[in-house]
Amino acid sequence: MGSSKESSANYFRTFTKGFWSQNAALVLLLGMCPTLAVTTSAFNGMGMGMATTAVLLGSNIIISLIAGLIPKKVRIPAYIVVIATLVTLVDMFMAAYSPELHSELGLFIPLIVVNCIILGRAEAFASKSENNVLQSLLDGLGMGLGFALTLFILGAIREILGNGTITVFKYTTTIIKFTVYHKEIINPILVFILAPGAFITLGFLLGLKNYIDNLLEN
Amino acid sequence: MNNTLKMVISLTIITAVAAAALAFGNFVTRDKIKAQAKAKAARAVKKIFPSCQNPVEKKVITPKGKKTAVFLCKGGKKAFVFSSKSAPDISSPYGGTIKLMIGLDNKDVIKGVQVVKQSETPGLGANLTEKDFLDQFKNLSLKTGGIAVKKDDPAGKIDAISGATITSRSVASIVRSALLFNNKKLKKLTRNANKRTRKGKKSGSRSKRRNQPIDPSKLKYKKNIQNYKIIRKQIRKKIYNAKERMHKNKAEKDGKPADVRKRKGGR
Repeated sequence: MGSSKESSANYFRTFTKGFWSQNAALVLLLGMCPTLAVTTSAFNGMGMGMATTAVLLGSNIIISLIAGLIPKKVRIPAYIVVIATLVTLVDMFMAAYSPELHSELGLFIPLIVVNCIILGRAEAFASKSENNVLQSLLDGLGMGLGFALTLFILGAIREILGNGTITVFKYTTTIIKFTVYHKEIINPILVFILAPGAFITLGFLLGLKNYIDNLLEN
Repeated sequence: MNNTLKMVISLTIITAVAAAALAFGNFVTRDKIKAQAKAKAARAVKKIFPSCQNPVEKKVITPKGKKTAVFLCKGGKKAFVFSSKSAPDISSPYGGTIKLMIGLDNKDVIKGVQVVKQSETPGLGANLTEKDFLDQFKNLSLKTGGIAVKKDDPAGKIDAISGATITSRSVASIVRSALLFNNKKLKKLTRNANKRTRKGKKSGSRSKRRNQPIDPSKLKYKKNIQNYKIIRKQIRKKIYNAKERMHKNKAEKDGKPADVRKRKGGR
């Protein structure tokens, strides 16, 4: 790394690439299972994204710290042990402190273990010797938040089109939910809540992203 | 050789640290997770019976052999958890398990139904938690009947959630078999609980005490056997008498067969 100005710009790029240019769900197309399955409401999408961010942050930091100590041949099992431990911890703490979210996402939390984003970032970024801990941290945070934002948008679109509402926050009895239109007046398009709606919405989002990229290039 | 050893050691260290972290996490969250589950059930009871303070919690075995919680309130009110996996004859929900908290008054009439756990499709089946749907079960009982989806049963009084008939059907069948379960097992429980609370204040009238069954553990062994012999004699006598009476009746009937046939055949 050269001057401090150059390196700070570098850090900034490491953080922001997860939101657009290397967005996990829209560009790398990693973690499709939670992307498609959990985004039935805006809040569910965000919750899953946040849980992924927490695990990604932790795994990136730990793996960046211990990468030099692990022999190359056993690095994948070592990463998986680290990730699985973190996921189980997130699962336990979520069950203890946010049971509502846990009951909604319960099935998908253990799936974070096999979520390619996390192992992908560990292998492709955090374990590289040229990236230090701070960079790995920023990478994890950026990637995770970008993923969460994408899931939130995906969930919001599906919820608005399929149910006419948008759930922003939910904890025990506190639910912040906006009604966009009344079901009695406009019949919601149910298919968007169901599995095919996930594919349709994701397809359109991918197309939109590529379209904007093309516009920016020209 | 040296390399292999290095691999083994590093993996061992990593897994050991991971195990320690998990043990710590479990230690911190274990009680909290249990408390959350309990608090959720308590909240559901409170929603059904807002006046119920400190209900007595009991465990009962469901028809499928699993434990479930019953909360007994004053005045014979009770609320208990019943899930789609509690009894064999429940029509299964669309996804996962539905757990309901069902509140009954002292006449076994439904006073409220709350959803404790569900994993139905959000936007469709998950609307079962809405008040409009659950309130339909209020004031129904086995006597009034009608705990069925209108679509399935012309006598049913439950409007299905739009686009989620399977879920609605499952909820109705859970409630129905919960009431049957209540008739079979829980009625006794409430009665006993009420007795106990009464006992604390007053030990009951003399006639009530007399009617209470004899506790065999309090009797001496010989007395017990004597009692048993006497009872057996009495029963034998009763059976003998009954048999004799039957023979007599039969003889009478055989004597006038025309009458019997007339009564049996009708028109």
